[in-house]
Amino acid sequence: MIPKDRRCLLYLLNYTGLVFWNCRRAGNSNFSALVHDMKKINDFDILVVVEPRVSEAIADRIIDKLKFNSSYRIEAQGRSGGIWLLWNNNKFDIKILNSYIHCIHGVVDEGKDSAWLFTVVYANPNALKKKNNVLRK
Amino acid sequence: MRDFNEILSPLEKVGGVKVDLRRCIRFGRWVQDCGLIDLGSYGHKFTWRGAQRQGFGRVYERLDKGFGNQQLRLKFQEARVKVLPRIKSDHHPILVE
Repeated sequence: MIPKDRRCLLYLLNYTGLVFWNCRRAGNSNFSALVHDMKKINDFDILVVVEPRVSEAIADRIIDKLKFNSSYRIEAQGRSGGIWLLWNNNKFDIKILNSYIHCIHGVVDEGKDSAWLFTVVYANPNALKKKNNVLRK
Repeated sequence: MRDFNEILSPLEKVGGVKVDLRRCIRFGRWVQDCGLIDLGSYGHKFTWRGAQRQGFGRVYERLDKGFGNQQLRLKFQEARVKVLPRIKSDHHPILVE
């Protein structure tokens, strides 16, 4: 990304990257190492992991290992679903507005009257209609 | 930022069973109703690698997408989605930058 003018440059200062990953089993021993590698190559402050397939106790341990300042998560329903939202809050702040089994609604507050809404969705292939209802709300 | 398990057009899938066009259109209409714009992507064309079944080629689909509404597109005009290399999982991670 090359800034074309000064306005662009200003906006690059509070630039944030976001990675979304359907990881299929975060319990894997080298999952955290992979995330750290990914961090080295790509610059991002928000990480969304869906379908982690691990229990609550293990999830806490893994999230600690990933070294993000804040986190929010929706527990998996047995073996399926589950969303982790992890972020570093030194450049901005995230407020969670609402969350359901399949999605998280939130606001990224960058200060200086700059804020934007985001929604993270993990749609179950079988629950199509339900998903649409949830999102229309 | 989402894994919708849904595709927008037959171009977003190769191999496997024929794409259900009506399903694509329904999803497209829903996206339009919500006033969303696909951010597009670069890097790998597909974000998911499916199973190999006998008689069919391996299935690849673009299931993970980034969407933004009009305001977001205006605010972050250079926002784009990069599909990162796939590791461990059958889904590629996607990076919004």
